[in-house]
Amino acid sequence: MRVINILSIGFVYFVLASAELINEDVNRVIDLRSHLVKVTTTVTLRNRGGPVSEFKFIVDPTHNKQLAHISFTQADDEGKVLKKVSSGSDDKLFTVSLPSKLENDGTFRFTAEEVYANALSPFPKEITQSQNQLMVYRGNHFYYSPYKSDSQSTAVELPSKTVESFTKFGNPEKEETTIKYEGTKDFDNVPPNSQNSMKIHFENNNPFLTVSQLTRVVEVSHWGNIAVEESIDVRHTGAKLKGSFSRYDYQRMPNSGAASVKSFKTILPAAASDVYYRDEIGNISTSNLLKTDDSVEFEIRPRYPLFGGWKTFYYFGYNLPSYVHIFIRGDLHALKMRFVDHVMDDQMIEDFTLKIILPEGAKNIKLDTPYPAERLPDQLHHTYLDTVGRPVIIVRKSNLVEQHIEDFVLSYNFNRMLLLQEPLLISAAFFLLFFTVLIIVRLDFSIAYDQASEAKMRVQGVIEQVQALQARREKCYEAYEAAVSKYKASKDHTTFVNTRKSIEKDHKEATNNIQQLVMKVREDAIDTADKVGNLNHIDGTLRDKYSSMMQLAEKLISKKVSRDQYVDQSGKLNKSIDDLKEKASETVDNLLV
Amino acid sequence: MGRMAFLKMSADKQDTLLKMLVLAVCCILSFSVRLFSVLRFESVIHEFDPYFNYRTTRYLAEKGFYDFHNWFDDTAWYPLGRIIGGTIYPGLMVTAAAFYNVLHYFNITIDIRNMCVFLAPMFSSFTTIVTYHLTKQLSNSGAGLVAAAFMSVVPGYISRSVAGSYDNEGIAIFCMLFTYTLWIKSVKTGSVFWAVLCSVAYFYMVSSWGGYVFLINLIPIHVLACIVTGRYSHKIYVAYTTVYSVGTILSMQISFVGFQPVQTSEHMGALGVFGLCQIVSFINFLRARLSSAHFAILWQTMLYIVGTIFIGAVGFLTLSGKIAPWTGRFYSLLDPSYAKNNIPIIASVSEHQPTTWSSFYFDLQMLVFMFPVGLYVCFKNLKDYNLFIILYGVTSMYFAAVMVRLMLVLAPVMCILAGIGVNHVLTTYMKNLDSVAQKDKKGRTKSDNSYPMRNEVATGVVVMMTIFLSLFASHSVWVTSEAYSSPSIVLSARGGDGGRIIFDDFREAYYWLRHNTPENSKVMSWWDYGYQITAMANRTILVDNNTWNNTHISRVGQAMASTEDKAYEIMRELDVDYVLVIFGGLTGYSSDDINKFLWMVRIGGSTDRGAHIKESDYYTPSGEFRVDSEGSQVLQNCMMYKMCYYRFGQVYTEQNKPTGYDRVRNAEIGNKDFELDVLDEAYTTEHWIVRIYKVKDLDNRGNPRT
Repeated sequence: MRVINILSIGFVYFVLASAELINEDVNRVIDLRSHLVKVTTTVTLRNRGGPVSEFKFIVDPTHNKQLAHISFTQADDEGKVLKKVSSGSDDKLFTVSLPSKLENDGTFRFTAEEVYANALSPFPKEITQSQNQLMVYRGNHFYYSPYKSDSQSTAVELPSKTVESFTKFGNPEKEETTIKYEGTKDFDNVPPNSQNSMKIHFENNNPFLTVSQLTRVVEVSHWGNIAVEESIDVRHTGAKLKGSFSRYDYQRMPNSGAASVKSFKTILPAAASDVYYRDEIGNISTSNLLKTDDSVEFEIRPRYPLFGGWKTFYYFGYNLPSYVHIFIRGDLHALKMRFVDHVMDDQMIEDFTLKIILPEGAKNIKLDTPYPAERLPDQLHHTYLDTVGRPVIIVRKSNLVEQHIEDFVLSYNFNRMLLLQEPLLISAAFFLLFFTVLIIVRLDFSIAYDQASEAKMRVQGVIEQVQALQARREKCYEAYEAAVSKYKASKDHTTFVNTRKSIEKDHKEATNNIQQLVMKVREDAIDTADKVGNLNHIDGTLRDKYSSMMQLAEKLISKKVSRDQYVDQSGKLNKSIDDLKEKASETVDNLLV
Repeated sequence: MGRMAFLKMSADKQDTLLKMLVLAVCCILSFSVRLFSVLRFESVIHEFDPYFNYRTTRYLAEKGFYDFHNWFDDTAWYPLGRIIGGTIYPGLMVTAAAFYNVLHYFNITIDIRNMCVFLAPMFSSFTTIVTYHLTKQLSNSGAGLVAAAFMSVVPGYISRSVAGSYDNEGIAIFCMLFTYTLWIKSVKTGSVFWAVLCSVAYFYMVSSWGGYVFLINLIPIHVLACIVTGRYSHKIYVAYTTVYSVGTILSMQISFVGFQPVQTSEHMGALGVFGLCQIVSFINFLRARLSSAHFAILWQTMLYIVGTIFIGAVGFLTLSGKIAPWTGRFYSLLDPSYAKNNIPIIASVSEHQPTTWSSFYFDLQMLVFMFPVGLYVCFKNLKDYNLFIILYGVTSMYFAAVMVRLMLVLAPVMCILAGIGVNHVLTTYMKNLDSVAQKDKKGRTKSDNSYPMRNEVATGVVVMMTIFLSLFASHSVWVTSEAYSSPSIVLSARGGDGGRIIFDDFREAYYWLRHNTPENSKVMSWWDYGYQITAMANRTILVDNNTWNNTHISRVGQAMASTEDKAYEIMRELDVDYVLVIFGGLTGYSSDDINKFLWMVRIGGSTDRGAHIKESDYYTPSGEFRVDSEGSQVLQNCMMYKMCYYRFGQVYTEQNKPTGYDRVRNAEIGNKDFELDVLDEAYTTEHWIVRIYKVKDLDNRGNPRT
């Protein structure tokens, strides 16, 4: 049924198109060196009809189901990419527009690059540990085209010299690792849509690794970091391992496990840092990281070598600085990053999911992918310090190969003030916490009346007041001293008397207040009251000393005493004043104990 | 200004601030000292049992409590299965899952594995605080701070609570001390409020560790001691009756405990003391009402009647099976040689071995010497509640001497008593230091004749204590770093060039099983690795660390100890797909299956079906266990030997040694050249530590392979 379908499509195009264009020269290279089949076809088109602006390309029906990637470039002009105007029902027929109209008898050279996945099948299907892996490739001796071809040549490139068999159509030449189908008349004047099955059975011990599933999570933070995490399911799709796995042979025999994969390299962006490599049960310690100028090479060694049919799962992640990937104009942000990144050379990803987690509050999200991909409904992601959740954009695509490593652009609006939300949230949380503790500690929630602690608190309050008043008195002492020295200098008696009066008034007031407090505290704590009484006593003595000091000063000014006498007496006074002051401050400090 | 503000604070504010600072430092220290393995390796679950706990916690966090409670695990004990909900103490898992859920409610998306890894260090911080409060209740807050500081670094406790050691003991010690604190509080106050809180704490303890039996015996012993020494009072009566009745009812809610508190002999002591309390109270009541002559007559009559009835009832219930017989583990507590003689599966666990003197010193260091000082201080100032800590100290000392594992129960009381002791010594001598220092100012006018060299002696003691304390701290950190911080799932060794070599073979093998075998494969291995295989490889296993079914384990032991054809029958019978063995001969990893093999033989031979397996067959005639050519032929042809040494005979392991030189047993193996008939080598890890074999199917005609 399928064949008929394809043939009928081919027939339609034969009728429509062949009248105008022919393939003057076809040069095809089939690269079988990896597990992917890469076909590069360089075609010189010649127009034998009226002006045309596009040409048709049909994927070879023998393996068009396995097509993973196709691109067309202009062969002459530095590989300018030609636009595909895809048409046809099953997406295997491409209409490619020409850069300019091709006039009658004009020629145009283009290169088509096709990548096929799973186009090689192992034969035998199961091998033992010591055997080499053999693969069968089934293809077409001819370039499959809706146009007639004047001459064709095909070169098949193989990974090694060992070839079990290959079809001998057109008397091919085999040199070293290349088989060439060319030169004979079988390849001249090939009619459109010709098929002739080619089969090559050859040795291929290259890694047959397929990524069954890859989920790439990109978490954007506007604090300057983009975290990337990829979780990867890998399996070995080559010939399955038969019988036992012998570690002894694997370690000691040089040719043992030739088809197995011990490690592979992943190339990360140059700015990648903090790389980790784990799986469900912890860190995988067998890996190496090599930083070069333009990339970070990450050698991944799974926990065990991968033999045919074995699989493994791991995830790795790294951080990128956001200034490399985020472009900002006002509120508008654009994230430009790889849609899919390098996992291994000749990678083949069967099922790929990209999740982009944007910061909370991102709006008007527009995604621009380099190629069509299925966009799944957006989700919300909640993590540290989130309130409403971060928007998650999810895109899915299947069958990706190395050629799909291209950038996507995601644009969104984000109010930069929202950045403050997280620190504010933390501050608020701590504030609440401390406030609660404050409330609990300061307020008394007990329903019972505790006399002792009440009294203690009252005493505490009184002591604090006493301390404040004592400080006021200390100021008075200083004021006395200042007044005396000023008087001695200016000899202005009236001012001196006035100042003295005002200080004494102040002093008296403070003392009275303390006296009242003593009365208050006496009921609760006798010893505190005694201490304060003692303090008052010291203060009284101090006041007397000061008054005699001032009298002495007056006498000095009115020349009732000689200078020498004054110095002698005031010296004594000062000494006792200092002692008293010290005593007073000691008493105050001891009030609390 | 700041200094002034501090000085101006009232004395008790300063006091509170200092205490909180010291406690906070202790908490941080106890958390961070346990992180060696996380920093050296990674945030990973350690050893064996924690893997089971981790797996169940993950299940609980993902599926919810009811699914967890009703969980029938068909991946363990194939083909019997195991009812998880009814055979575990769920406290640990519930705690971790509760933290996990609360954090996730606040969008703190911590991984469940990290929650499990860091739970034990977190709870040891809590334990530090509880130790402070308990010691404060017993003595004063100074002693509390010293005890808290000891508790934060004592190796005996660290050994069970490093990050990744996600086991019941990690939170059980916290629960135990918490219960004790509340018990002391209720004895002191005689209030029903504290007693009820104490029983709630007891419930938490019961839900988290089987060691609760120690607790429910210690508290009655305390009460009994109070009665005997005439310290019995209403306070004790209120406290104990409340704790016992509420606590017992609560503990019976744990399905694994069920009716044990009223049926088994382990719990009978508590019940007896409960009854005794009633009687003593009644007698006291009567004594207060009756004249002494009347009372004496009544007393004698009562004594005979009650004694007869009690003994008769206990005898009847024991004989009729209502009181379950004492379990083996309990017997081995009382008689250390019991297990060795009777139950090989208990004896085979290294942590059930009697403790050596060196390990006392290793795990407790100076606490061993300060412990008697604390006891002395407690005796000197004997109170109802001091009696408790004395009893706790003495009994746990005995239990720790019986079983290495119970060092864990001893460590806290060591810290508390040593804390009291150190505090006492320091406060005594610090005072002297002060008084003499003041006198010195006046130029030694008065020297105290009754106490010469007062200041010097005090300085000497204080300096000595400081040295002891700092030695203890550095010893503890060293022990933690060297002995207790290896995850045992990842091994590391120093390479020839001084670099670190990591042996990650266990996870390599488990991960291989997880991804490259059919999902319903049954893996046979010795029971030590059961929990790890179910958790990491996610495959069905025959026996695991739960060791509840001795015959099943014995059957596995028989398979390992038999010849290939016999083993094949057993493996077919048990439906085994893969066999996993641990082999250290290449790397020198000594706790491998060959070294454990004698236990397999003993356990295998301990049941009827394994009667043909005799330990003596595996020894040389002179009674040695040797793997070289002089070893016993039975050993060299059994499954275990063949699986470990398959193709090992071709390998050069050391220079100047023949091929097949076993680096653990330091011998060239005796049986080098053989093929396996019934097994295929399925996978061997990089350093040959784990070897996995696939059991061959019957051949086409259904004949056995041999």
